[in-house]
Amino acid sequence: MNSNRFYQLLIALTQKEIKARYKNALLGFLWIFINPIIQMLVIGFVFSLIFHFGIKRYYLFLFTGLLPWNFFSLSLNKATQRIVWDRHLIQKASFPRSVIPLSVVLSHFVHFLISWGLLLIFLLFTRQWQFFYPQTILFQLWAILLLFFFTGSLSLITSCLNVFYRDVSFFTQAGILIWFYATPIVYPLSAIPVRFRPLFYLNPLSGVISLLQQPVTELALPSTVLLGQTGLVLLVAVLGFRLFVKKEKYFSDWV
Amino acid sequence: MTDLAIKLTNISKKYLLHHEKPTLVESLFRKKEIFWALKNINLEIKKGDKLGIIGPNGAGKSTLLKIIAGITTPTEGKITTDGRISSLIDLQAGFHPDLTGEENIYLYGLLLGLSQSEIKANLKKIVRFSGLGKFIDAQLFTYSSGMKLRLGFSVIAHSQPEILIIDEAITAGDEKFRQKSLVKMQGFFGQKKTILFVSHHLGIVKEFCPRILWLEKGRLKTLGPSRKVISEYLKSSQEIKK
Repeated sequence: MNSNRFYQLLIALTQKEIKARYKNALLGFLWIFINPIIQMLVIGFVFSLIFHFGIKRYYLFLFTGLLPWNFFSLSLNKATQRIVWDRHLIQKASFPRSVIPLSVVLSHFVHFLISWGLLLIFLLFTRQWQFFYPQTILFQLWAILLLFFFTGSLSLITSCLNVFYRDVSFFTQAGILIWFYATPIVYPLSAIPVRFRPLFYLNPLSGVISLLQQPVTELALPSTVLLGQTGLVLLVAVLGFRLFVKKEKYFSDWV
Repeated sequence: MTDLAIKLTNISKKYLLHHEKPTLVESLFRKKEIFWALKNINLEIKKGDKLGIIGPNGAGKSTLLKIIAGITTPTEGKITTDGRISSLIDLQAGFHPDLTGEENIYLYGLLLGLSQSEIKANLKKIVRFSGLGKFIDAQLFTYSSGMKLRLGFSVIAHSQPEILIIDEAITAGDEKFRQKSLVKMQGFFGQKKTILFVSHHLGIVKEFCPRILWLEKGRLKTLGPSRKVISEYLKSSQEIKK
């Protein structure tokens, strides 16, 4: 398989995803921003009434956590079911199957990047300079890369398994629901008692989101944790890719 | 390379029978039932050969084509192919209703194994052949089913495959387009392409293919000159009727 064709196909399918979603939508691209805003207002209202963990700009804190989370959960949910849904393609043409889940993830990633860019513009106008220090920019880039690789590799695993066991998509949906509360998004990592923190460190998303929220919370993530989570993500990527390559030959027999 | 386009050695394909959707729960408790769709197929097809494939429903014809096209993997045996393979199996598999005709040409072409630049170079020809004219910029869900078939056929017809797989007689679109596609198909048969042609229309198979492969219950029954294989095939189906 030549890699050129792989990328051309991946990009074409990603464009298809993006175009198809907004072609007949009145507000078009604005929808990427509307969802997290509604979510932020609802969750923000509830938590600022009850308890806001001593965070001054709680809404901003929430928003910086919800954007990456939405990318992760949407991508994973959609990508998991996608190979089965695209069975007509699997049965009729021979092409690297990984372009199907990866194009779903990539199209959501484009949305995420656009919305993060819009957020940065907003922060620039409101003079929130702490988001633009060289170090925080570097951490943001690192976190976004980690987020992308983790989501992509996890979706390779779940979408592949879902071909052979259709209940995997239900497990994934339920898992994501629990994962939301197990990840420091609506609360900072510092709200977790120290002795439980190692448990949270096993979740790469805790690092990703802590890094992105750092300019608001001013809480640093231990560098050993960051390196460990980076290693974990690479491990998941290798495992996911190998599983997929091993199994994709049989997809057409199962969909 | 040799002059072989396709070489199958001891190809067998096993399927698991699914009575319902495969689930984790089922896989733990249910006993697995297996079914051999193909058993020990040996076949050599030279470049430029035109081979017809016949056999009753469930004989394994589609499975054989899927293995050759690289869509599925044989359980046992080895397959080697040389050259780009396109299949006229389903003319609409890669289409997306929300994209325009032209966007769909690109997507479909890439799925068939063409590169972006090849599609670009052939775009005008594809659009002209499809006869869709100004509709090429309209979203696909506005197309009639005939228009979609025409678009699909046009892309495949311009994909310049070295090995072409044709499943069932292709009757795309209205009479005018049917004539046009028939001429194009005859053109394919006239060229030095390797062609595999599956059909229940024995007359057409005989006309196009000098050699015919007869599959029966997943096994290779006969491979030989068209006339001989077809008369044997007809005789055996007569016997079943009695």
